[in-house]
Amino acid sequence: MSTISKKEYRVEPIIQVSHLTKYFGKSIGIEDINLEIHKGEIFGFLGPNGAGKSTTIRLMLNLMRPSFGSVKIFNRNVQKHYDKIFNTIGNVPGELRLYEELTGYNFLNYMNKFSHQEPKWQKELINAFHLSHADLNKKIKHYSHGMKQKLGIIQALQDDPELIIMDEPSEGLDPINKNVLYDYLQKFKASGKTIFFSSHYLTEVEKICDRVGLVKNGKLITKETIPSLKEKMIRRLEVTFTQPVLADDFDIQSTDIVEQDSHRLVFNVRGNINLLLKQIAKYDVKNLVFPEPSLEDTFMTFYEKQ
Amino acid sequence: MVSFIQRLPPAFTTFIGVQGGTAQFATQMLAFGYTHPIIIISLAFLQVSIPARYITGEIELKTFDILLTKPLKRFIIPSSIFTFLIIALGLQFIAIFLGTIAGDLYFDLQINIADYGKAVFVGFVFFLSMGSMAMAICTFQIEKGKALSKTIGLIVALYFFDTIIKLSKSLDHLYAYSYFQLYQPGKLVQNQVDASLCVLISLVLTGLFLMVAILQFNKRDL
Repeated sequence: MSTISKKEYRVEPIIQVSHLTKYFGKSIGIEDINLEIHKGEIFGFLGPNGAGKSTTIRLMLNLMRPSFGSVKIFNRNVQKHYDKIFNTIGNVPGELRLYEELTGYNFLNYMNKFSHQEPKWQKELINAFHLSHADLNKKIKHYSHGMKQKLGIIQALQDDPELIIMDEPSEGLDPINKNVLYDYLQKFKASGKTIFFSSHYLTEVEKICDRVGLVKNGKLITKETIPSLKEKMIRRLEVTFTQPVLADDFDIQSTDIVEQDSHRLVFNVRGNINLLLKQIAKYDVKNLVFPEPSLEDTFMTFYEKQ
Repeated sequence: MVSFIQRLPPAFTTFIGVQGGTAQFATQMLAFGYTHPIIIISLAFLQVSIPARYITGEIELKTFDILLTKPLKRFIIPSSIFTFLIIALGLQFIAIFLGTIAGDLYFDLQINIADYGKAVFVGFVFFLSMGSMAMAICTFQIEKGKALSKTIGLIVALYFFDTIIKLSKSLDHLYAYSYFQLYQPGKLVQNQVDASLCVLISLVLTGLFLMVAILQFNKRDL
């Protein structure tokens, strides 16, 4: 009977970011970022523009050198072994720039050559993103922003990479193509691939990710699972009643009334919303507005905690 | 033509390396073609524009963000651009040399083709060192425009320095420090300068700047 070494039992994270710091002169790019991303998970990297998401990704991909700290991918230091690691990585950069003089097909085939294998997903992705034969025979300089983005996504996924790193990949995609992207990411996840997904849209991160890291001003504020994030997140609910109501009737745990007049109440709810909904249901409701939580509100939740 | 050259100021004839009335007039005139400003500009332009476009330009455009996240060693980028320079420059000098041979055959000048071959090789290595220098400068830049202006500025300054030395006898002692003294086709075809020394210095400069370019490109942020 063959023996299994201790190393084989231990599950190493796919991405290990340790004390990653990047200074640009005197200004801070990112500071002391620590992350561990495990096999088969979709990790959302959420933050506003200029928070340090792209800098972190560029450091992870060896496009920048850290001031301090290190990045390991597949348990290998990226700075030393990038050429071996990148064989199994698909990357969609934040500022996607393609070779404008190539046609779509030429670009995809050129990118595929580095993997020395057949582009397993190319045809399927081309169909899924509705890129026609005529589109792919045109030079990239004639493409719209959305078409370039689709091409960038296809080149990242076509070779069936083990790790997919995407910097705001849904930028420029219409809602239908965004859903195509989300579906494929779920499909890749189901087959054991690991995905690092940066975004400044809370809703898309909530929709597809297992865990999320919130980054702002170059610092990682928190790492949460999506259920835990929802639990802690403050959400706003605005209710207009047909008759006057008393605010005292809505004295519910984890719920604050932030605005009120005779027929209308605005609540801030943290965590479970069911108790409030049950209370509201006792009255005749004229209108109910439950907007998407803003990124700023979400950050405030964690800043308050800190 | 000879009388026209003889009427030019001596400083100018020294500068272009053609003295009217000498036995080597045809040889000198042909060699002047190798240093004609148009030739110098076209040879130098290629050496400057290729690194600026394919190193700094690509950094500026951020196309390396995809290419360098493929399984590719970073040094391959400057190395392949250098190979591109060798091929482009080689083709240019082959064209120049073929032109010389054609001229010799057509006008029956009976020049020593081997001397011109030597001048072509020295020129090839000299402009390669210029390309290597341009590559080194470009790897430090993030904007193509700045890379171009800095490299062109440096080459113009070196050319200007060489011109002053040629025109002023009191600055003769600076002759050894002039970069453009490594490429003197007029003197090379008349065996007035040591071609092997020119080649050696150009090769050392090429190697040195190529190494700087590769090391800097390897460690820089993109």
